[in-house]
Amino acid sequence: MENRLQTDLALIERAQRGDRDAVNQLVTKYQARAYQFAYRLTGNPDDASDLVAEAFVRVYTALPRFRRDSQFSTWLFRIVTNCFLDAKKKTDRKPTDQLEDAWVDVDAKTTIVEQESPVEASERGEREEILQRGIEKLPEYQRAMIVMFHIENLSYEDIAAALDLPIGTVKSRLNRARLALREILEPYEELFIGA
Amino acid sequence: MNCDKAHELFSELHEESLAEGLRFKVSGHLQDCPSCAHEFQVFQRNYGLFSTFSPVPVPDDLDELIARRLDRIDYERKRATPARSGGWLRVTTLGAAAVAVIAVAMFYKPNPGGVGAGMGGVSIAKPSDLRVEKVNEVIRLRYSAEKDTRIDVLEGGSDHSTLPPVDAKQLRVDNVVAGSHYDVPVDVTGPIPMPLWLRLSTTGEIVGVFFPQPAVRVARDFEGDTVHALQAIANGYGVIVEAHVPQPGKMRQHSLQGEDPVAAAKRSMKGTPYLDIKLHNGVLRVR
Repeated sequence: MENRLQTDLALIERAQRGDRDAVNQLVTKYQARAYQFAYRLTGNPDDASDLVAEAFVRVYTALPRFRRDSQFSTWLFRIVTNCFLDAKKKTDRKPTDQLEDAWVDVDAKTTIVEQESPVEASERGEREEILQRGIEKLPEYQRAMIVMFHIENLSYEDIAAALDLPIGTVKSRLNRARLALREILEPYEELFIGA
Repeated sequence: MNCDKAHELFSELHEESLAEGLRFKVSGHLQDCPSCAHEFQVFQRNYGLFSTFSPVPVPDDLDELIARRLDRIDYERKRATPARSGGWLRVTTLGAAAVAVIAVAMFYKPNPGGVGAGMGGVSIAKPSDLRVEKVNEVIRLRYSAEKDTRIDVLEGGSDHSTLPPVDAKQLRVDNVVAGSHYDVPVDVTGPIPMPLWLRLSTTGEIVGVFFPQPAVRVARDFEGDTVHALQAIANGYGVIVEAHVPQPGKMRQHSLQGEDPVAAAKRSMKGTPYLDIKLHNGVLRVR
């Protein structure tokens, strides 16, 4: 962990001096993680790609002002979240009204894990799809917190730093998000029993 | 303890981070309230659901998309910095000539901190070891890697405001191991081969390679961008042109009949830092 942070610090210092190669290395290192986060926020590969690209544009332009008092990854999550919130304000896209829509492309998106039968893979894909659509029905801020905590495994402290909120606020909002998600998923409860 | 208050504490109860007093109260409520007990059971199950999420595949072209957006920023920054020298390329032409092959390589490395002669805010990168070789009329694009290098290869595109063109199509991504050679595995034998663009991860350089378009005649008078201009020189004189320039630019060219390619290129590059121009074995190198 320490080595990784030192490497990041060295790259960031170089990037702040205008070394584009260092910027490219930061992109290479973090783009996949940023994409996972963005995909869970948007639920759409194209939107996720755009979101990540826009986030790195902001990173690139804001790098000279990055104070290095937080981890680069935390800062990146903050920027991706802000890009996501800004994009939502602009587009105000209508969310999926019915979770039933989620079944449409389940098979196409399902990847079969080793030692998993096609039926199991299909069921898992279905569960993931329902869960993803459930996440998308959450208010944007709650969605970002849920993804950061449960999928990106950020700590409450990291989320608080990323979103510039007190830890207590993060905890209470996350709890509300989990309760909301429980309600959203209620009609599909049987699908998740034993999962 | 009422139901709403108990729900507010579900997360902390599940994470076992509640103070003992509160934990005792919530647990007591759950024992007395079957509805909340069921809710908490479902809550706990849902809490663990996320760990089953499979990673989604990252699109192959994501890094390319990001790189293009960052290139656009570099370009805008440079454009905002006025050049200190006069014109760009002023090339004259040429009648149409039969051309065996044309290659133009453009090396571009952003460095806001550097200053290159005649180009405000731009420094000229040390050219990478990418060679355009012509052996028995066969063109080979060979890259000798000093370090492990990722090479993105794109094709075509017409918007030269940034390099590679924003509308270029990604053909392949290759990884070259340090100490090895990489021959660009692309077929360029068509009647009008598309330009290739190579991005080198180690230096951030972008290399444009333009092949002959014998079906395209070179106009006597021409107005366009640097890429078009250098290709026109190569077309007109039947030479490979490998040019190292930091950024695209606008230019005009007029009749150049009677000059040799070196003289033509030198006159074209007058007023720019790129005056090291040599012709060797059918390859005109401009640096």
